[in-house]
Amino acid sequence: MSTEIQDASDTVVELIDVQKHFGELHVLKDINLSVARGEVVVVIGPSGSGKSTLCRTINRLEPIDSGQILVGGQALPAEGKQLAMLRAEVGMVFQSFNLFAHKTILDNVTLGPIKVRKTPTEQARAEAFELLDRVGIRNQADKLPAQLSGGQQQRAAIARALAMHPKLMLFDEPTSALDPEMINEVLDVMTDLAQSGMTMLVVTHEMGFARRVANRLIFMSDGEILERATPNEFFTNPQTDRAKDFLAKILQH
Amino acid sequence: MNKKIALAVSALAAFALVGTSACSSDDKDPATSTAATTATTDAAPALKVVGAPFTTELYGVGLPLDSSLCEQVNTAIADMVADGTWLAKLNGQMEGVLYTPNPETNPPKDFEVCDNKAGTFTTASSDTIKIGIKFDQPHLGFKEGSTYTGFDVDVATYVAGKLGFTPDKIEWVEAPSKSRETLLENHQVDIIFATYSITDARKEKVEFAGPYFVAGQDLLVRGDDDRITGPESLNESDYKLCSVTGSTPAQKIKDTYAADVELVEVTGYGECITALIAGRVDAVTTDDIILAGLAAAGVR
Amino acid sequence: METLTQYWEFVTQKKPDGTLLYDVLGAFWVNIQLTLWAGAVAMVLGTIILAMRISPIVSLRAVATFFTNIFRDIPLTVVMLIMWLVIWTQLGVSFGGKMSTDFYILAIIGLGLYHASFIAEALRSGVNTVPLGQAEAARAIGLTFMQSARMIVLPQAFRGAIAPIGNTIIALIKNTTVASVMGVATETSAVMSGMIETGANFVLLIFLTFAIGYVLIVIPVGMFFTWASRILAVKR
Repeated sequence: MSTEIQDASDTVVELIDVQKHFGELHVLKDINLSVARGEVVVVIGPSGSGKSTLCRTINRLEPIDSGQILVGGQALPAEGKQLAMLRAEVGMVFQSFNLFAHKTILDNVTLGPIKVRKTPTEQARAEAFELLDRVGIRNQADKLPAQLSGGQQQRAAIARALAMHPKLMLFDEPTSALDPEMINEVLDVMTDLAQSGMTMLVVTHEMGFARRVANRLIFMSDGEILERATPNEFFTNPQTDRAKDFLAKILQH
Repeated sequence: MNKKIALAVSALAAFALVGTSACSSDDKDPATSTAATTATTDAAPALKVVGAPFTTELYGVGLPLDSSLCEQVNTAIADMVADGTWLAKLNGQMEGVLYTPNPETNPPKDFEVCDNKAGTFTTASSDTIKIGIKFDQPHLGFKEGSTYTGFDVDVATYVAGKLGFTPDKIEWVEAPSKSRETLLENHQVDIIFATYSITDARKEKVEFAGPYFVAGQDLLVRGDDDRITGPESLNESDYKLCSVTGSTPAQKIKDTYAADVELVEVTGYGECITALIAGRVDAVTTDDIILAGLAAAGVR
Repeated sequence: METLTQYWEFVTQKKPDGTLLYDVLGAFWVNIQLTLWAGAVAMVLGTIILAMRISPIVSLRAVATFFTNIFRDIPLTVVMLIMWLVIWTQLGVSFGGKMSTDFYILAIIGLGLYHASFIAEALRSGVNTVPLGQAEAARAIGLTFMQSARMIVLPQAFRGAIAPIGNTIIALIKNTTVASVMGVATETSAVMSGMIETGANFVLLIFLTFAIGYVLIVIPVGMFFTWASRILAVKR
């Protein structure tokens, strides 16, 4: 059930009674969630809790069995041109970066604006350079993704998503595939982005980031949302046993 | 589902193959074969051999160079002609077709001189004799299931008998044109009766006994086509001439008689016959007896 | 040594009008041309079939799968015989002009149809080298299925399919000899048959001539594709 009633124009994403099965497995149970404009929502929980699936249903990379998903007040259409247009408004950053391996970093970032938004090439390139500058890899623009480190690739992926001027950014475990020394460079970019007012939904294991940057924390386990709270509330006073269990384990190291 | 459809189409294709190239005489039911016999005497045949043969091809008996059988083979052929078997078998195979072999050279009288009298090889195995024949020339050398028929087979059986091998001791092996010399050299066959023309080039690799038949190149046309009477007439119009890939007859016609004829070369005579009957080519050329065999296959 | 001189005279003998009786080099050139044309047909058709196979529309996928299975299950010789017995003989298909041109075109069509199915499978294996995430990222930035296929998946799929495509082309080079079934009389196996018919004493040398000829063609092609597949491989 929704815990807050919000003004429609301010709600960027709303999930209502969403259910999803993978065969026999009930991976999303009664998901109700809404994200307001400028909010940073962080989703945490043990593996297999459905966090990634939740993230991927929002831009329909995973379809749902029942329930409703509204993005910017509009229901998610089926596969087709409409859905493509809607996806252009939602940026996604993947755990495995998924940069287009056969194109340079610059081409990766300009492809969306040129082909989808029909931005003129020169303008797209200028904006791309700005974005690459912002994420700190301007000098890698002409390289191929395989030539960059993991942290650089993920920052490029963020720039690629931002190039579409999205209303919402989805992050599906963005640092889980990175070596420890590169995690911070990516988290810094994400923190920066949050502070600039971007609406974000982040699935992550990085508790420090969650504590510092999140407006709201969602705890999921076995496909259900078990707790919703501010970071402080959650870390100091978890309500459910499952959450207590989880925190005890992760805070040990 | 897709596999079944694919199999069905393959079966259809195989069916088309078999139906067009094989002599299906033995499968016809009594009613139609009676009709066919009366038809050959009253109605025009589907295909006919036209004109006199315009080359000479001596069908020899192929033997390895180290064979000692040459003289015996010549004697056997002479016996076969003398006691009437040769003519009887030939007529039997060519029944129903208007064909007479060249009377000046048939039955053969002048045999090859056997060069290698010092040869010692007879057969690879003492129990059986391996005879190389064609499997795809109706009424000459033809394989139907597990039976082998044709004039080559008839002569081969007679000669083998005279060499001391009864029919049950004969093993028939396919001798395609390209492999005849190699099969003999390697003793993979002991003797060959496979419309094997005697040429000087071949005599360097194999020994020839016989000949047991003198053929000549000729033309096969549709039964109702009276325009073509001989090789020169092929030059008169837009004629299309069919033969087998790599064989010499077609090129010979083009070079010697009819420079304007269009040549079609295919894998086997079956394909030529199908094209002839369908009207896509106007004549088929090869040795006259092979043509007669193909025509006879269509009649019966 | 004397046999070799005799063989050389045999191979280079001329017809009454002055042209070569056995145009061996010309025959190889015919097979190379057949390879180029049939290869082009196979590549274009194979790409179309691949696109149909990976499309989200079920009926297109079914047609493509059906086509591939048919042509992979029927031997090439049978395909050519069907072209000859059914298409040319019974249906009388013609493209105007000389019969030899008809045969040439029908042979190219037969070879092209047959190898298209193998090209489609090679491309499909190339598609499998492209991680699913590439297509997901493409969709996530708002590209349509066609755009994602055209700009992201297929370019990488092609580059990943160079090696199996090369294998198909090498098979095609050798398979062009089956064009003789479709009446193409100037290609290598037909010329070889003619040479053996009259040059029975040179059988081994004739076989060697054509075998070596094909080796000389196939080896550089194989080396080229190995090199190309390495150079063009998408580094991940």
